[in-house]
Amino acid sequence: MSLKWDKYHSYDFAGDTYVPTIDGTSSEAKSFNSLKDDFDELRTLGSSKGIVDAGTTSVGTSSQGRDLCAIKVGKGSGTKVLFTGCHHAREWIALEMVFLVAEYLVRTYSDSPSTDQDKRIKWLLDNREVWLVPLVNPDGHKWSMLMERDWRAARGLHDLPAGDFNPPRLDGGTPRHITYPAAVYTGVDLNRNYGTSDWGNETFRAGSTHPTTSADPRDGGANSVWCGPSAASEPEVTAIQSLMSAQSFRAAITYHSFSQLLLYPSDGENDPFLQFVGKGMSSLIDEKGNNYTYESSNKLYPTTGDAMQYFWEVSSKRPSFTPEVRPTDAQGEQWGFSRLPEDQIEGCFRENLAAALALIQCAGFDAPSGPRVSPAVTIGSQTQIKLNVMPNCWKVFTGWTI
Amino acid sequence: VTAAGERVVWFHDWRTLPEGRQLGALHGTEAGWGVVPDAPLATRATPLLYLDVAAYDDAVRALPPEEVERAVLRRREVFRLGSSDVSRVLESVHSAMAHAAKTGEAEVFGRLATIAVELWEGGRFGPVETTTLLEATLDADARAVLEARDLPLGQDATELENRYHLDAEAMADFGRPQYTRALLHVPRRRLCRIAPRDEVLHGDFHDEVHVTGPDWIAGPWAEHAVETLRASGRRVDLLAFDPSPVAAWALETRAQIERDVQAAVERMSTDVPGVAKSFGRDLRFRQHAIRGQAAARLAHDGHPRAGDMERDVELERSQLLDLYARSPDHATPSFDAAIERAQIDAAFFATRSELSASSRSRWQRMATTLSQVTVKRP
Repeated sequence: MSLKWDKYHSYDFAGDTYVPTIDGTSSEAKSFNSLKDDFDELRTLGSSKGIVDAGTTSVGTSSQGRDLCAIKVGKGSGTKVLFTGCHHAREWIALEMVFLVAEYLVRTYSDSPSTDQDKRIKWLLDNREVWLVPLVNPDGHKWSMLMERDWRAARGLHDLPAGDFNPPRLDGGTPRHITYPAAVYTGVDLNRNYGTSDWGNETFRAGSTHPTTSADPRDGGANSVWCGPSAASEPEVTAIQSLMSAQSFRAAITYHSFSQLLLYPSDGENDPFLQFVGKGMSSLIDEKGNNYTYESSNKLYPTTGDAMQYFWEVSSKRPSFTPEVRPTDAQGEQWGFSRLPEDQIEGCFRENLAAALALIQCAGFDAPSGPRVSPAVTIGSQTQIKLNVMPNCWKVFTGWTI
Repeated sequence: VTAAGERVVWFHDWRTLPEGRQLGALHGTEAGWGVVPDAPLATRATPLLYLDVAAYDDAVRALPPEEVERAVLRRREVFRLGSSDVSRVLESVHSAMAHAAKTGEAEVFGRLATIAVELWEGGRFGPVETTTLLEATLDADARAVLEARDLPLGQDATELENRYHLDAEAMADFGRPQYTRALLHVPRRRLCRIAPRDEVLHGDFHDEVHVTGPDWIAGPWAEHAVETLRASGRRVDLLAFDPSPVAAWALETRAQIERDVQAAVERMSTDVPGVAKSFGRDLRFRQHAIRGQAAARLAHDGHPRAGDMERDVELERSQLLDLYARSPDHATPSFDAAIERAQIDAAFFATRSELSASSRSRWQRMATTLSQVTVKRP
């Protein structure tokens, strides 16, 4: 099946244009698909198959009034799964990952499937409801196409008085002293703005003065890690939080780039159900031959207020993951980090698809209670998982033909 | 200073490119690299390595032969014409503008400025909403104000602030009054060389384009956080007022990076006013490019503030001429050399199959326009 993986999507523009070079001094030619147009087409096709709700086109609006475009796929409203992408504007590949999962599901679904894979897709969409929001940060994405290719944050404005305070640190270290002038600030990092229990705590790598979560509005901007003036201050975050609250999702995944990692919540290390699902997903990615490191989000660097942690908390520890997809760190240096070439989109999608499908299926499982006794069973070719939970469920991680 | 119309290319078999001059060979093969004039390269899908011989010479200067080979092979992997063509011609046009400004040729300067704006923005503002265009305008306005306050740009910060407020009023008409209440804070990142290099510092640059030397990392660092970094015991040298050079450095050889970083350190220590003026010139060019688009949009929409903004953009263009006249420019030795290089490059890019059909046709139009600039010159 040939999906739309030849070029990147913009929010609403299709065709040839020039975007800023990574250094901002010039421009380079690019050709785009339009997310709005392509979602309309998918919605029409999916509606005709009876698996897409034609009435669901958006789950909210950005601070500048753009839609958070969404598509709802599947008939199994008892078991819902959430896919989000592109919290960080410059990570264009993250949008593609979610869009392509949606396109794959809609185009593959058939009432009379012939292959085993197609039968599995039919079963999934007959028994799950998948919400896909590929572009959580449409304003920032537009800015990265127009002005600063490396822009990461949102574009909401905050007219703040001068500040002078000592924000707490997550690691309990001595808080730093922050002063900033009265100004109009922009550039909240959406993935530091979720209302987690530790929102507003600053984080640092050990020994570093450079924050990985900052309460200082001067740290907004292109490479922002500013958590915002208050939890969920950004309408984009409010919209996703409200969606989570209204839909009671049973699993969530939020795509980012880069480094080739599959991250799980930092306090999920000893959660057997989360580890069962995560290790299985990891093995499915690795089977494609381009390994991703499976690790706690804390190991990459500590953060507060991120989407994965928020869902983990409000869903009472349902599976929640963050793939950091292509490129690798080394390739990132060559390509300017977030400028993954278009010819990498298809491969990146293919290596992540089976894990995404498995997560959709796992959303139907309940974390077991009671004693856990089981032998070790190998799942996939890479990862050995002790099936101390749900002994019959491991097959979800086998047999996908992508 | 380079001879226009010659490129450094990779060849799989030297006999297929007889018009060229060989620079090096891959040991034991017919493959290698050399200099070839534009004409025999036209429409051939030959891998380009450098757009001129001077850039190649600079890259391999003082490298032993085995490292030259390694540098060329790496360049074959990382060089992409599609992201270099506009920068290359834009540099020539900026240089021509500087020469025209220094001799007071306002009309020629104006024509070239129009070309430079077209090259820089590439039509990307066309499909966007007016509010997005004004958002970009205010960002550029605020950046100019903040830098003029802090750096010796030779520009009037108060006048720039008035310009910001003029544009903020226009934005308020579209229901976004926040900009009228205070100046937009624009994060400013400086390009710094930081030492010593260790795992912690590597972690800090995880998602920033950066380059490394024997005991340092060079990359962008938030201006407001530089002193905190110094206080932590790091040595910090300022290399440039904005991070733009590092993207090109990231594609260079190790030896070339070290030379370029050292040159930046020396430039900053001996000629801060010159560096600041060049930086200020580039800032104001981009501001002017965006404001021109915004003013045209407001006029098209019949907005009541369009007239004020258009008049101010005209004034801004005359100020730009003054800035180009006063800022140093060493890209080309003369106006004619700058125009010739731009024209030859544009004509060459119009033949390259690596570029899309729309890009090639754009370069053909650009070559024609540039030839008219020369003809119309008094």
